[in-house]
Amino acid sequence: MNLTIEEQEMLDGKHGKGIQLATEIVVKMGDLYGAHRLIKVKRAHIDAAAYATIWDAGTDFVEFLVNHGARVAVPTTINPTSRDIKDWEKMGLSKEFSDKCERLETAYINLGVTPTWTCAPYQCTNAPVFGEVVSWSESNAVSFVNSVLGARANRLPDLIDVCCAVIGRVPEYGLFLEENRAGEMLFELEDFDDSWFKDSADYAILGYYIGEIAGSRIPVINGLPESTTVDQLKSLCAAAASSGSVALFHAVGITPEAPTLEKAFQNNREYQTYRVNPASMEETKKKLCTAKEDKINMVLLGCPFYSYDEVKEVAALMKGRKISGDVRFWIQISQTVYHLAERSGIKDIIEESGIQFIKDTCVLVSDPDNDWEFTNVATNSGKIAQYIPGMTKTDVVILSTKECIEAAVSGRWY
Amino acid sequence: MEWYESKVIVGGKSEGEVLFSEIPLSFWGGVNVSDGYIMDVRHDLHGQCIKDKVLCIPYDKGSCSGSGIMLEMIRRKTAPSAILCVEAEPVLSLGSVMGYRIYQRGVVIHTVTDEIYQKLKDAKSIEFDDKGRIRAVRYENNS
Repeated sequence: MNLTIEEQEMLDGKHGKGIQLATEIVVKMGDLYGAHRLIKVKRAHIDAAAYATIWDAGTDFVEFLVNHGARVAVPTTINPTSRDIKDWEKMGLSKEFSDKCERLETAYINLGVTPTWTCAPYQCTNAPVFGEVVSWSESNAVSFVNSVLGARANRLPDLIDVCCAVIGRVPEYGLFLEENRAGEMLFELEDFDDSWFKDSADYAILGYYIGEIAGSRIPVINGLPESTTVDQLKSLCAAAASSGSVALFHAVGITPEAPTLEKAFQNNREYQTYRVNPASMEETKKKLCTAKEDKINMVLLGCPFYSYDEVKEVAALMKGRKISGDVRFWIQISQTVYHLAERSGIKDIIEESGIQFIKDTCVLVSDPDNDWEFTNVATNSGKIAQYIPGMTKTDVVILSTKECIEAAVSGRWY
Repeated sequence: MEWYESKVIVGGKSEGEVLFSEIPLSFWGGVNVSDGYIMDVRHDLHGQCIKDKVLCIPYDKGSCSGSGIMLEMIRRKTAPSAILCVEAEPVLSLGSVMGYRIYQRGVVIHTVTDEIYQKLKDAKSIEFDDKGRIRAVRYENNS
């Protein structure tokens, strides 16, 4: 890889041991994946935030950087931590686990990150612009900024995301290059009437279906309705990056690099077409369901973290109603969205119905050894449906947002 | 047994008992960091332990956190000894690269073509050399 004089000095240790180690790792990975140079970025998002994801090895690493003088070089937001910082006790977490989370959170604050603790930074304070190269991680967020915003991000693995934020540069490979952003396969939506694609869950199921076939390739989706919202695309991003490793998709007429089918494929005419119809959606929904009975004792929304508008939708559906005493209902959000809900009063409407907000964290990145005291989960998220059965030894069913709410009220999902 | 050409992504020599799958795997959410057991209920290796084994998966998928999981598994000594795949994304390789740098040990990772990968379906044990070659040492029905 060709380095500038400044980059060579960083590698040689002239800017301290922290910068040196970060540069060394980035250069090593750049060489491995065929990058010829580093490119400067103006913003970053770090995924490696949760103690229960990077554990002691990662904590030691971040502390090493901090203790050896490294700081983030560009404005940098960060993913959820492993606890609700204010209300961790309400989640049933131990003091010992909470202390470990705090140690890592402190290291990151000392590193200079903006303490957003959210997996949807693009709905918080960090939204890249079209064509901008960014240092990005968190599989849903990489897909979102690439696909929905048209920024340029690679799926940076945890910990190299920290290194890149610290040196303010990324190795140039993959999706940073225009020619690597062309669609590689077509998903043609067929026979869907107007009742489809009104709810996030439909986007999650479609995303899951596409991700399984696409793997790491770039799918083009044709046929999504014009009414598709940013929150619904967020749901699609997270699911396709859970069943596969989709880092970029194009939705014709919806996403910025796909005004037409031809543009989505960069005029390439040879590609395979997969037809998606209501039957393929039903089949995927069934595949995601591990539930063996009709009982529900947990409803989990907010994966990725819910936006203010999504919280508002739940408030409108819940107003004046109460969830069943046998059910817990958690909405995972950032402290930022929580404040907005507090100011407008929808926080009270939701909490009065028995729903609890989980802030700064989510079940998936919290303590795997915690006794979660629930066994049957309903969600509208494809990412939760993929991971939660293995991670918390529970059963899961994917439902529309409205169905999730009805299940919470009745304690039954059918 | 015949040697096949491979591409060395990380590390070099290794040999071990094989766990073979044609289904991609996410290390985060898919593997238990404390004991190396596969916990993804939809994976055909669910319930198997990858500690000190040669894990064969076509590629990795899912969360960007796989690298953090891998580094911690290396620290806790619950990691596989080697991974053989068709495509090794940075999320799969970084943890091992950092393991060699920080703990002086890691996971050997090689890639092979899809054609060679299919030939190893029934291998019981695979040997990796540091020149970019691998071979099946034993096969399922042939000791």
